[in-house]
Amino acid sequence: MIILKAVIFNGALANKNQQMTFQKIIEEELTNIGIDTESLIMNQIEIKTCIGCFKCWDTTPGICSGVKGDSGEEIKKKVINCDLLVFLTPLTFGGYSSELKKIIERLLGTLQPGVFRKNGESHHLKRYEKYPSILAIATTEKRDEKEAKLFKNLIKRHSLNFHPPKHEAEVFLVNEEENQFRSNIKQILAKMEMSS
Amino acid sequence: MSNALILNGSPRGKKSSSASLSNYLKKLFESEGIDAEIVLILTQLNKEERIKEMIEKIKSADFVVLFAPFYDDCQPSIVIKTMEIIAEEKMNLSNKTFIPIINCGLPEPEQISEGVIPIYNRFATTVGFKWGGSLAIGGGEGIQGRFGKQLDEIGAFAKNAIEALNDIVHSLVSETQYPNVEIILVPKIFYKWPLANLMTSMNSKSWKKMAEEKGEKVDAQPYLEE
Ligand SMILES: Cc1cc2nc3c(=O)[nH]c(=O)nc-3n(C[C@H](O)[C@H](O)[C@H](O)COP(=O)(O)O)c2cc1C
Repeated sequence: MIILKAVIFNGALANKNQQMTFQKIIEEELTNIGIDTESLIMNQIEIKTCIGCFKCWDTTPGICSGVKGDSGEEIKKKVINCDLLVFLTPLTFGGYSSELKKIIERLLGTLQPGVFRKNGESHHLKRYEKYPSILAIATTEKRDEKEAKLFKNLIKRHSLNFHPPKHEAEVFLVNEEENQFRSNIKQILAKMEMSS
Repeated sequence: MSNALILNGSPRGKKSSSASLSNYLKKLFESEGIDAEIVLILTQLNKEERIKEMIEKIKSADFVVLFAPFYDDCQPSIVIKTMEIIAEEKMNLSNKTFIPIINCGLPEPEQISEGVIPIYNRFATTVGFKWGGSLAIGGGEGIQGRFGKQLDEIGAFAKNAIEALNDIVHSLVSETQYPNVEIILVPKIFYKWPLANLMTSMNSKSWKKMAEEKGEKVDAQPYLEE
């Protein structure tokens, strides 16, 4: 039996709600379906922001050699070798938090610089045959349909560029009832047909 | 007299397409008698007192123009961080006009409009800025800002950008609403069949060559586990 792997990126901001209850529930639900899960709390890990040098494309293809002395590359390796990537982020004007975004932008080297065209749009070529599916969970203090729509759209756009076999996005209130959150996560994972 | 704050949100800092565009816009503002200052977000976020300084500059500006590249369908992390800081400050921004000018690597400015412009708009309305319209620039690497090129050094490729920047300054001066505009630096014909296919393959070949010159394969697959 192949054991599937998942990596959770917790993009909580330092000194704010750490989203730990949600992180724990997602971990438990993944473990329940036999998925080996690792959580990374971004504000506790040294990750520098991308400097836009393109060295991961033209100098050391697939490897970031422009930014040194942090955990960016180690995390990229986990991403390439996992089956599910979970984004857990405070909803920030409909998008990601800065903490989540700093690791996402370090994943540029998982794509090739060359492009292909699809439906009139250009996108970058795959570097690898397989990419992880994406489950994106945003948490918010106030329900706001506009922002929720923006978040779902962002994940859709992200998926056009990063080739996940499956992708789902959902927004929850920070004070969402735990059982409700759990049952929603269960449903989404079932819909994604994730299990080892 | 009005004054403008130009925020450069490129992680490349002073050598970026955002920087070249910022420099040009600063001159345009000044030619209209508007004081303009460029602030690099990258260096400003380094220290607590520099963050405070940036906040003070926002407080005293009439126009806040943000230049940034399009990263992964949204803003670079340092720009999100700036937005988080501004929101946290809870300033009164109602008399300030905010305009994001976003450039992307791929040729379609539509990707910017569909991805990040609504996020910037949501930010502006949430923190209380007056939305001053937006500009999405496709094929932004054409400016060669990362090699230090300025807008007036790239000839005809700069034409659409220069026109748009002029329009933005005129809208601000005359207090008319600038719309949400999309431009592309390379003439559109290059991105229509059959030239599009040629452009795409030329682009891929040039990356391949750059990697080969360094003894590398552009399609290498490092880090894979068995
Ligand atoms: C991490 C990263 C992510 C990027 N994502 C996109 C993207 O999703 N779409 C796109 O068209 N260009 C993308 N680009 C390309 C930049 O938008 C492009 O290089 C831009 O011209 C840089 O502007 P600057 O010099 O002002 O920083 C990305 C570049 C980097 C480094």
